[in-house]
Amino acid sequence: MKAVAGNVLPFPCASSASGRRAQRRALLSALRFSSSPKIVDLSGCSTLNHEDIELLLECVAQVAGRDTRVLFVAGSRANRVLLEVTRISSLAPVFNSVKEALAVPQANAVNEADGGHPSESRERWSA
Amino acid sequence: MELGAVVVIPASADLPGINDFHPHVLAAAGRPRPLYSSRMPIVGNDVLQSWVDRVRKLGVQNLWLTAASRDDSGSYFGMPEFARQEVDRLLMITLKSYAEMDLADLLAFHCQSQNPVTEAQDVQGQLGVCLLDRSALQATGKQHKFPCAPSDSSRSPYQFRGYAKRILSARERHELAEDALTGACAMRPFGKEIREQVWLGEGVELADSVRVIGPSYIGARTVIRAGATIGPFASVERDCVVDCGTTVERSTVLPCNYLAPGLLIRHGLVDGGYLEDLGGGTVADLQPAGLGARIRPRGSDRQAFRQANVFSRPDGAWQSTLSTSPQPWAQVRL
Repeated sequence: MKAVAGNVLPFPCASSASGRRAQRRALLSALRFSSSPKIVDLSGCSTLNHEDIELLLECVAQVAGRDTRVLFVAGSRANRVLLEVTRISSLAPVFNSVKEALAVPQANAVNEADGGHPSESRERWSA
Repeated sequence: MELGAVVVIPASADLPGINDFHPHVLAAAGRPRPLYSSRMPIVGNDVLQSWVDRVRKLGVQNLWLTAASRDDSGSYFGMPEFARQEVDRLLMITLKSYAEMDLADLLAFHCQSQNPVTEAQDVQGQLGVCLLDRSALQATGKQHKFPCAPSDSSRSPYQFRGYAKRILSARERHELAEDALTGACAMRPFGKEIREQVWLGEGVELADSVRVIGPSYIGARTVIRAGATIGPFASVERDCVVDCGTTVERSTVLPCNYLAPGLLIRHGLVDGGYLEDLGGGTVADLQPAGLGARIRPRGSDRQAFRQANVFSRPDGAWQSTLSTSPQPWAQVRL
């Protein structure tokens, strides 16, 4: 359970700039040195600004070319729409909840062992 | 019998009720966003103009226009005064739908049914079109009630079975645009058809590498920058800027909007820096991330779309003028 919790990284939504910078450093560092799939959770963010979009793209860049995967939890319908509009959802899988995303790395491990492709739930919220 | 006609432009006072009807229209922070003005063009067409044309065909000489703002008593501005006008019968159109309605048929039905009020409706409900006899109009003035309110079940409604769409809803607004692009309704895009099912308004600027996939419409003076893709089933209205590499597909972009580079607008409606997802109704604010914004029109003094000459004010200005004017009625000779 501890290992699972360590794979979920909160997206920086701190109100203070200093707190935000610290969270941002921690997030990028965790992605840079991780070899296991990481879930970046945007549930705490009510909306996304241009710095957030940049950071999300940096997250994708940190794991590019490595075996590590990054998965995003949108946390809200509006965030999901923004991830689709910015095409971030075409770079990394996006999920509605942490629970949904957590199911995927485990499934990946099984699928990859079988030589199959990882499955990704792309279901949208019901209206 | 003298027949008068009035077109009521829904004002902001009416929007809370509409938001109740469409509870999903909430911005990211949970605040209701303004619904789409009924004066916003649809593939370059002004829906008001389509109603004015229908009223003209009916042989009506004078048309009154007003914004549906309520006064302190809760009555609609001017309704009691309007009851004193010398008309025996009043056709009242609330500008919330586009309907290819034969108003002569509605009038014939009204005369035949001998009800004081006849309202037109389709399978989804009221279309915002009703006919009132003088007695009903005078009662309206006394009771301070809005005619054609959905409370009176004793009325015999006119069942409309033709083409109709509600233009205050993003989804139906886009469906109407799609139908206009494919010829599924009588509305036609206002521009030049440069190739099959691709229409451009006046002064459109397309970069060489732009792809326009029909059916699509690009409104007057809109700029589409390099590498962008418009369509299929896209309507980018007048005075917009779609920046490099952005794709607009199965979507509507309302006038005077900027879209940043590299975006994917799919199955949505963009207005004033907001994007409404046409599937789930989610509204996302594009502005904090710099993805979209309202922009000023280029050459706003020019007629931008197929708009009635007598209403040649820019969107919104006309409505607010009426709301604050001591005489909120404008009379138009057809």
